[in-house]
Amino acid sequence: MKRIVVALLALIIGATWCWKVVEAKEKVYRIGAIFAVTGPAAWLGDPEKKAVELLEERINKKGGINGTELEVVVMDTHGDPQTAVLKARELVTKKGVMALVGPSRTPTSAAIMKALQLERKTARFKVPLVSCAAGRILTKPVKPWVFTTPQTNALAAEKIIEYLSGKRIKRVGVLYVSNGFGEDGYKNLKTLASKHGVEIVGAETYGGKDRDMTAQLTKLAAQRPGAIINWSVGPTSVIVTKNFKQLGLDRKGILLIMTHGQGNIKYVELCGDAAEGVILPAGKILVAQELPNTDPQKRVLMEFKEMYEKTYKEPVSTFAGHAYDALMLVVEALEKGKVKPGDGAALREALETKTAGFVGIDGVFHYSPEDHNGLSVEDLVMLKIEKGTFRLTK
Amino acid sequence: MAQLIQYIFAGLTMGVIYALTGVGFNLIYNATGVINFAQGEFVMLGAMLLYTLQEVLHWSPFISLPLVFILGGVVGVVFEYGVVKPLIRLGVITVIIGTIGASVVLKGGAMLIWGKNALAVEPLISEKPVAFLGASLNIQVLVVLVVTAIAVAIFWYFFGFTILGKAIQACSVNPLAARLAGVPVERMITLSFCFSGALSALAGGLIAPITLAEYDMGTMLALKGFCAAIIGGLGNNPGAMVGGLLLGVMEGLSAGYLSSGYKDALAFLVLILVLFWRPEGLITRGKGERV
Repeated sequence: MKRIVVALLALIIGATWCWKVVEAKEKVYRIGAIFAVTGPAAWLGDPEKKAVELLEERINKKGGINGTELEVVVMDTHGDPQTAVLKARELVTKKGVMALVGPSRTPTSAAIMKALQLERKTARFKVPLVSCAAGRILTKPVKPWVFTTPQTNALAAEKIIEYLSGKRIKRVGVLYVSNGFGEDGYKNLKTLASKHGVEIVGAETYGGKDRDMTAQLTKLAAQRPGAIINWSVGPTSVIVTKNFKQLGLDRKGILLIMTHGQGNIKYVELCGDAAEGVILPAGKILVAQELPNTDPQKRVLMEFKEMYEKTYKEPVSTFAGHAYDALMLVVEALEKGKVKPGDGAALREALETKTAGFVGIDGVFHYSPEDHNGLSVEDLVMLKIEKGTFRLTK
Repeated sequence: MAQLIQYIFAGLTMGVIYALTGVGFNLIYNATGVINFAQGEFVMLGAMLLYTLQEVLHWSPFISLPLVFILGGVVGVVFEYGVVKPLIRLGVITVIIGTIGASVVLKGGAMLIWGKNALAVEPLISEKPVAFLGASLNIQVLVVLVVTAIAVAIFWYFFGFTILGKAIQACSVNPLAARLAGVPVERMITLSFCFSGALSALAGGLIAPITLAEYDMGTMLALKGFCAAIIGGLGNNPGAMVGGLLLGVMEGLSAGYLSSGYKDALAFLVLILVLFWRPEGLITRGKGERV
């Protein structure tokens, strides 16, 4: 019994001593990266983790930030909000990170935001979160400690409507999945359409597990729209594409427009021939080679694309880009703001005020106290799927 | 008019799948009195196996699809020996809970083997749409309808006109009497599981080119298949066929003429109404109740 007590005491003392050592040695920039590396959202988290690990290595090879080493601690949320909160707490309290990069999805990001009280100016943990999720709840209204990198639903909707009015298409039908993502997309389209003189002649919904949308498409097509916009992610978008071709709506002169959610070569592969001619707004990374040399992002895009594809032997995706931007924005803020290791509050200030004009993968960022997404409609391009690849529309 | 036909065919495609799944439910229910919650996973396995044979091993679809049918039968038998037989002594409820467990295991296993992403499967003939009475149909939809019709015809002949089929029916009507008449009841039960698995796998294999194969596709199909079985009267195979088609067409029509948002709600509303007014099912032969 005595022995056990002594051993335990020794252990506790030893542990606290070690802990002290770790605390005292704040000689590195320690950043927590938290992604859905496994689980149902692994297709997001996996490329994000790869991008972050690649960047860590590259930055340290070049001598770190302000001459200080960068250490990225990667953790896995399994795509689950509760796990995300546990891991975020561990990163903040045990690992002592000064900023969090990720997570991949809006529900996990929102859960961390609530748990760490990042929506309050006087948050208990002074740790900014740069999320790779696009949900409007993260940035509207602005949360002091939360930033995001992907293009939002609102921007994608604006780009689509701009494209349609440019093509003089006045009548559109909208098809969307009946969840938060789809409804948000539809709301954005509705408000923007009337401003640009585009009329929404019909709106139909379907469930996330539905497997046949010909009825909804037939109903929309009967209104004779010039284009049908589909707002969803995952397999439903593939089925809509196939059903659209099956009904021969492309031969009736109707355009099928998808969202940035389909900016993924997997979507094209699953659709096969049916994807030909589909139009969608997306980030520039998918067509980096095609961009004119005058494009401000061209150099950054090509560099990242080559680096990523050389290391991992797989095509780069927009999701890897979200993580690139999240980490590099933090790095940019650390450099420009001359932030000391461990000072999360100063880092937040620097992110908000010192990073404007940062050229990333998702676009040119302009973070400000009023805008924590920082992208504009110019950062998106309209793409067309031709012969199984993404091409820039003229 | 063209629109109406389009809606009806949209419904029929899914309806046929619900019907096959519903019959799968019935076969096991008739044999053991168990509602098999893993029925949807049989459908999913059918889709996944077809993907493996056709897209990974590059076998001809004309070999793959019959093979999926046979493998489905094997899955059914393994399921009986692995899950149902060891538990049936403990009562029907225990087995039902066992099937829920099995469904989770099958779903998880499929996720580990085939991954979380949806998988595309090439259709049997071609993907070119054909025009029919002004509606535009996927050829695979016609394939689904024709293959199902053939399967149903075979089953109808089997159960109505062969000794083996009649023996299975006898076991479901009165196992004791069947045993006394010299029918090997145990073997007939195994055969029922075999057919149930085979039919469900066939449904999965047929639908995969239209809807993609995905590890969690079974849950929704099982729910709708169960609805089909209830609408037709649990245990009544022609009833489940009609119930499934009815359910599918209703979904198609309500998505077309009402709002697509109400589609699922309407299907379940009909289920509740059927349970209220005709709990024995829409299609029933006058049958004495066991007292």
